[in-house]
Amino acid sequence: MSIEPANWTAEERAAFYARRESRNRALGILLVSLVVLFFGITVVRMTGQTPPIPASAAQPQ
Amino acid sequence: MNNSVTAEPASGVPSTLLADWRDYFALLKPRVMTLVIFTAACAMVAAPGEMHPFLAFTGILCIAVAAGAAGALNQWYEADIDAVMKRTARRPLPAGKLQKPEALAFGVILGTGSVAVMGLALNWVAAAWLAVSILFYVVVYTVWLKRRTPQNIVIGGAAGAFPVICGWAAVAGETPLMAWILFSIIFLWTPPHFWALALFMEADYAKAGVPMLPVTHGLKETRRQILGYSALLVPVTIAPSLLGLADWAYGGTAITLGVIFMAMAWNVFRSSATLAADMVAEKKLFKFSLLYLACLFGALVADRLLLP
Repeated sequence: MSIEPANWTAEERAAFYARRESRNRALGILLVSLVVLFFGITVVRMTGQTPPIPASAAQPQ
Repeated sequence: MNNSVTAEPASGVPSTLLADWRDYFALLKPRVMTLVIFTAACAMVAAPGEMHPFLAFTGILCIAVAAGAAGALNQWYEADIDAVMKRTARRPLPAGKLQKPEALAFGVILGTGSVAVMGLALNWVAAAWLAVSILFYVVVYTVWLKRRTPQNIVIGGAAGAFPVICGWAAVAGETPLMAWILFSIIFLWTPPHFWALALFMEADYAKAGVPMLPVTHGLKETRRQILGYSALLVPVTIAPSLLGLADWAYGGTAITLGVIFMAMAWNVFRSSATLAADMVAEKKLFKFSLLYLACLFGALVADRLLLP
């Protein structure tokens, strides 16, 4: 269903689409940035961690 | 940006569909955010401890987004005041570019998101202070006290000072005396800074019905309080050196800046100008106060980075 009013002029319609495109582009950049941020945090946090030694390996033979 | 589409909801089209991303960005009060980022980043550098640069970036980002969320919630609540003040009438809500529920949802999502990321990526002490800073600004300052007391700016000063606590806690995981001294510096700096502005913007605040000190107690009392808070501020800025928490390179800078600040506050105290156009001393103090805080925190960072 179209949300555009029938009485819009061609100029108004063009401005509306331009704004919608700009919003969608900004949202896309935001989502990609969040993916990069969370990936980066994960890598940094995991790199800083020492894996726990399994109990069996830690016991003297 | 094409302005041919009006900001007002037209023909049943939700106004948010007419809003640009810049309107959402304006909700975050980017100018206020700049100061928050700067002070929080300085606190992170000054705090003891090591931190991966990416996590430091994440911490600053969380603090900035939380400040933006608080700004959005502030604009959500104050749309009526903003509409009658010349300085704020063009903000997205009074201009009709966004509706209040959108601003509320935007603020809540950003606020909870920034606190969650701060807790998961850095530590929960910093996340807790971040949540406190948002709630303090929105609930205590905006909703509760701003319209009730002429000391609203003093309370607002605490809200603006929390980012240094968050920044310090993000690195150190605790908030020792030095963090609270930095908090006190911003807390005591805020009244002279904003009251200097309020003196030459008094008519605007009176029109909006906000009980700012110049409106409720007059220009003379405001000037007296500016001098009083400045006299409290300067010793606190020197305290880190006196207590051995910072080197005297910082202390020397704090003393020099403090003398200039006091001289300017004294000029404001002596001023009897009643028209905004004549308030030269007030405008000078307002502009210098921004430089003052930047130089003070810059000196603290230099003290930590350059000196052994």
